[in-house]
Order: sequence, then C-alpha cells, then structure tokens
Amino acid sequence: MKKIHCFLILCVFSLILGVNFSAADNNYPQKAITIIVPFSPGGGADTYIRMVVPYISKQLGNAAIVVKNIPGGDMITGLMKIYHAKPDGYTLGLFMTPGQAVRQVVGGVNYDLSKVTWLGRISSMDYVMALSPKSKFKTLQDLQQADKVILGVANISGAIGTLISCEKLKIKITPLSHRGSQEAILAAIRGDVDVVQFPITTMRTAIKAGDLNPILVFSKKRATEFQNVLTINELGHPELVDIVKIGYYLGGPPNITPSVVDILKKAVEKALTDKELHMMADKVNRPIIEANAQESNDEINEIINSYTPFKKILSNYLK
Amino acid sequence: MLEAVINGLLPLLTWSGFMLLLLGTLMGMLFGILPGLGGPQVLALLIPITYGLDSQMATIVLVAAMGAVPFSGSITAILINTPGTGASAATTFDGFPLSQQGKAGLALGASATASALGAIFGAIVLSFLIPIGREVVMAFSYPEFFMMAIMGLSVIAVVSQGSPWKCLISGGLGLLLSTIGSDPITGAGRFTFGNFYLWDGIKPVPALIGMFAIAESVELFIKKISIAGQHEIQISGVWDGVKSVFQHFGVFIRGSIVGTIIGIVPGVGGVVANFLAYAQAVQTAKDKSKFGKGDIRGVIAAEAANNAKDGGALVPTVVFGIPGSLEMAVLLGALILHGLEPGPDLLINRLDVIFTLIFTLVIANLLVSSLGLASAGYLAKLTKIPSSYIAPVIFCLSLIGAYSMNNLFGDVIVALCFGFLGYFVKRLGYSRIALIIALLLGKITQESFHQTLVSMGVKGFFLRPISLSLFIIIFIFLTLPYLRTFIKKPQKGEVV
Repeated sequence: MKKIHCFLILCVFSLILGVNFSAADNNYPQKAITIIVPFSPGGGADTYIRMVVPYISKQLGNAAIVVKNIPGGDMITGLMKIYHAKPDGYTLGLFMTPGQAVRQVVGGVNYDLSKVTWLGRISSMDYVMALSPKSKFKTLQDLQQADKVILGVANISGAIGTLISCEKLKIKITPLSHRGSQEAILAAIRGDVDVVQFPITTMRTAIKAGDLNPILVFSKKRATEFQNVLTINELGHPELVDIVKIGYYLGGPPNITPSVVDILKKAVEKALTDKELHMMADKVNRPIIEANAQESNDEINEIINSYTPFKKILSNYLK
Repeated sequence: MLEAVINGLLPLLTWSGFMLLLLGTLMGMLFGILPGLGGPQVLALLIPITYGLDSQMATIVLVAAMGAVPFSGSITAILINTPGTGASAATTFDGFPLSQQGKAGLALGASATASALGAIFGAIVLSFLIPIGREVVMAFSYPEFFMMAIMGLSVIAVVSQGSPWKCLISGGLGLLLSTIGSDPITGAGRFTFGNFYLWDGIKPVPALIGMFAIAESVELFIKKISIAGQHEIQISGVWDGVKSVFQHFGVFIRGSIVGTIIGIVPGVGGVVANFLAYAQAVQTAKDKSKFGKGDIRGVIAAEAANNAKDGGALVPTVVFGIPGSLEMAVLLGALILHGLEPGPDLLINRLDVIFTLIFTLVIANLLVSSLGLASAGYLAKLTKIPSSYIAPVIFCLSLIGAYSMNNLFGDVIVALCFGFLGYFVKRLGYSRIALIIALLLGKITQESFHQTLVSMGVKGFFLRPISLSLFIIIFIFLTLPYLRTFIKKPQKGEVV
C-alpha cells in the first residue's frame, strides 16, 4: 500500500514538474535519452521497446529514457528523424527489418542502414504460414496447384519477404492489404483470405485457439511449439529463412562519439542479457533473442545483401 | 462468474485502487481536453509508470485514462469547435452552434449525461456479448465496412445547409483529398510529390484542428466578437441538458447501439461511429430543420456513440486479442507487459481482470461526467471571453495540439492549410462538415470497396445479409424524402 502511495506521489510530481532522473555518471548521460519508435503506440515493436527500456535505463544509472512514437511514411518518417539526429547519443531509435532494408534496396530513400551506429538486436522472429480453416485449400500442395490464392498482408513493404517466398514456392498469390497484421489475421479467421504469413508471436494466439492451421514455418529447424509443421529448410529453400524474418534492432545516427558508443553498447548488451528481462519476456511470449552491436551490424549488412538480387521484384511491388 | 465479478470489483474498492482510478481519470481528462492528444498518447505516457504496479492496478489506471478521454474531447468540441479527435467530430456539428447561441451549458449537460450513460450501455453490452462476441465480430467483413462508410457519407445529404450543390462539391473535395497518400491496397504513392509525410495521406486530427479550431479562431479574430456573441449564457442550461437526454431517450439508445456495434468491428474506427449515430438521429427525426444549427439531439446521438464504442471495442480485444481501435492496441501492449495476454486465455483464466476493466470504464466515465457537469456552468462562460483573448489561445493550442500528436512539423503545416481552407469554405458558403466527413471516411470507403472486390467480387455487397440490409437502409434514407414528395398528393390550397 505504502509503495503505491509513494509511486503515486512520485509520478504526479514527475509529470507536473518534468523531473529528470539524471544518471549518476557525470559524463554520459547527463540528460534524458530519446528512443524514437517509427510506429504508433501499441503493436509488437512498440511493446518490445517499452519492455526493454527500464533495463537499459538501469544499466545507465537509472537515466531517463523517453520513448517517442513517430509513425508514418511506412516507418521512414521516424527513421529519418533517427538517422539525421545529432550524433551525441541522446537520440536513438528502434529499427525493423526487413521493411526498412527493403526500401533501401529499392532506392529513392535518403538513408544507409550500413552507416547506422548499431547497438544491438532485441529480438528476431521466424514466420509461420497458416491457412484459414474456412479456405478451400488444406495443404501447401493445394496452394501450389491453385490459380489464385488470396494472401492477407498488413502492408506491402512489410510483406515483401512473404511475397518473395510465395514466388519461390510457386504459389500464385493475390496480396490483399489490411490496416495491420491483426486485421489480416481476423480476415483469415473469417475466411475472407486464404492464407496469412506473420511472425510466430503475432499468430500464436489464433493458432493455439484453432482459428488458423499452420502449414509452414520459416526456420532452419522445427519450432518447439510446431513440431508437426514443415520448415522451409526441409522444402529445400534455406535461403528464405533470413529473407522471411522480422528483426527489431536498437541503433543511433551515424558517427556517434566513440566514448558514448562504448557506454551505450555495454549498457544495451547488459540490459538484453538480463535474466529478469528474459524471464518476463518469455512469460508474455515475447522472447528476447539478442545480438550484440557487432553481430547486429553484420546481420543488417547480410539482410541488405540477401535482398539485393530481388531488387526487380521488390521494385514491382513497391511502385 | 459471480466470483470473477466480485474479484474484478474489489481492487477498485481499495484506497489505492480508487486513487489510481482518480489519477487515470484526471490524466485522461487533461489529454482529452488538449486538441490533438487523446487515448493513445495518454496510455503511452502512463505505461512506464505502471511498471511497479500489479496487473489489476495497472489496468485500473490505464482504462480510467482511456475512458475519460472521449467526454473531455467533447468539451472543446462544444466550446471552441475543436474536436480532440475524429471520434468527437460530429459533436461540433450541433454542439458549437449551441455555444454560439449562449447554450453551451445545455450542450455540455447533454454531452456529459449521454457520455456517462453511453459508456454504461457499452459496458453492459460488453458483459452480455462476451459469450457470443466471437460470432458478432465474425459477422462483419469488408462489404459491411463499406456499407457503414457509405452510410456515414450519406450524412452529407442531410447536413447540407444552403445549396446542396455546394455541399456535394465540398464532399467531392473531401473525397479527392482522401486519395492523397499510399494506396491502401497496392501501396503505390498517390499525389505524394516524393514527400514521405504525404505517404500516410492527410491525417484526420490536424485536418480537423485546422478546419474547425484554426478557422474559428481566424473568424473570431476578424469579427472581434466572443463565441456566444450577444447571447446571454443560460445558467439553468446544464440541467436542461441532463433532462434532454431523457426527453430524447430513443435518440440516445439508437446512438449507443450504433456506437457499440461500430466499436465491436475492428478496423472501422470511432470516426464512423459518431457520424453514423449523427446520421441516424437526423434521418429518424421528424423535424430535421435544426440539425447543424444547434439541435441537442445531434449532440446526444454523437456523444452516446462516442462513449459506447469503447465498450464495444473491448469485445474483439478480449475475445480474439485483436484491438478494436488504436487506444485498444496500446492498452493491449500494456496488458502484455503486465503478463496478461488478451485473447481466449484471459477470458478463461483471468475473467476478474476483464470485470476490473469493465467496472473501471464505467466508474471513470461517471467520474469525468460528474466533473464535467459540476464545471459546465463555469466552462460555458469561456464562450463570453472577448475574441482578442480567446482567438490567439485557440490558435496556439491548435498548433501545439497538431504538433504534439506525432511530433511532426508536417502536421502543423496541414493544420494551418486546413485552417485557411476551412475559413474560406465557410465564408463562401460551402460545407465544412461535408468536406471533413468525406475526408475522414474516404480511405476506409476505397479500402473496403477494393477488399470486397478482391475477396468476394461484386456479389459480396449484396449476398451477405448485414451488408444487404445496410444497403437497403441507405437506399431508403436517401430516397425517402423524394418519395414522400412524389407520393404526397397536394391538399386543397397547399403548395408543394
């Protein structure tokens, strides 16, 4: 009870006075750090960053960290704010692959992900393809033999890995856009689209409830929770594992002062390996699958390279 | 079930639970009053400070904030013609004209009462719908979304003041403006001129702020009169407003039903709810002449729908784990952070949390409406402040509100452009209401039209019972006035 009263008083005062819980460190950080999230509040990526922020703050001496949502422009509006921010370490951001990497490969955007100061990967998730129980198609073979399969997607750039995988699997799909992944999943539950393909975390509830039937997982080995479901590796397309994968990364603008980068890299690495965070994340089915700064940097470059051969297909979809 | 109800209510009866409810309600009120800010922003701000709380206490503070936003947004809609979000846009149609006539108290009284009762209605429906929520959610698909959007657009036909042609031109301009941005189906850019800001099209909130608040402040500044002008503020108006909800109880019930149904359907959004509720109030009224000029029934219908929709939007959130609105998406994220995964699991294992959620929503609405009623008399006096003071305040608040929604300067530019557009649209006798309705509903109309064609073909519009029923209702509403004139035989000495 006392704890709640203290909390109430503290939060009211902090909201009114804009108190800055500055860190004990005299050098960095000396003021609040802003993490820009290029999406609206709510949703997978936003939930992840809000889950991780308290642990990063702890590693930076309880520094104030503000999560700022700048949605729009297919994630590019927020990304540009991060990329062109002052490289002082006080503006960082959440990045998401493959969408932002795909836009770079297609061209016409004013950023280069290989120059971003990478701090770490928060998570990466495999995709699962699932059929609507109301669809006339019941197996992967049915989809491959059909003349037209309606695929529910959230937006074209986010679904580009899915579109490439369907081309490789020779499924003649007609993508149908929705406002978000949840609307597309609901359309599949209703039977208005035949198939959907999203990260496992996004689809888990619907699959567990029997509202969708999983037919293919985009991973190298069989997922623990989908032991009876084929993997893309077994179908002879291991190259699609990395293409059809979502990743949430933490980074900052290019050329952040090296001493600040060192502090940030260590703090992010320690935060992402915190056992308490992992336990909490596992409990809510949002596992932390972390990578350090160097691994993240290499991974991003690999993703850009893996999409480059598909530039023509990408350009067709992203007119 | 009874045990879950009691366990759901108990946290609210504790001292700490009530304090958190109060804190959430006050924060929601503050964010609702500020133009541009609303449910998603207040929830995003509150999430970090709930980390130290248990899941039920966190639910209380978050849901209280969410529940307090709609009515608070309506206060500015009524007093200064500035809807906090698109969901309270229809409240301005009759609420602000009432303020201009010195009847702001009447509008605020009706709004507070309809809001509180609407929220209770939505919560009751939610409690009963949980067992059959799944079937209800599944009954609505693309053709129904399309028909509901068209129904919303049909409001243009009944809000025309003056020339119907000017009203249609305004609606056409709104529809054209709604095509700016990436195509909702193919993702291809349209009229973006290489500008990333325009990829999302014209955002509703900056457009609303500009079209109503900025245009109004410019007009106040030029005319140099207060909002209420020479009209006297009627002190008894607040209680008359409360009574008016019961006098027009049918309008309230129909508005609440519309709001709840729209809330249940994920992807349609609160914007459609208040327009549709307003449309049904106009179309079912015998005397339509006062709508748009200060008819209290317009305020009651829009406000009832605006608050009832939150109860409805909780249905897909708790049944499927699929948020029915942006506020629900943020709430869903927050619940996940507290170890609660909305969906079938929550429904089976933590029914008490769902009841905490329902009770909080109801109490927060009662609390904010009571505060609104208590302060309505004082708030109404704002309409007598001279324009030289109030106009710059509205102007500045509008720009801050436009910016603070997404922290984007582009939103400020859009608000300013729509401010001047709104001023000239009004001055030249065109319809701001028609333009804004078309702009807000244009995207969902084209999206659901295309989705229906791809998924079901043209027959999808007419072979589904709800879609067909909605089509028939729209047809009747649009043709009835003409049919009446055609069928009615002129009486002796009567001029038709």
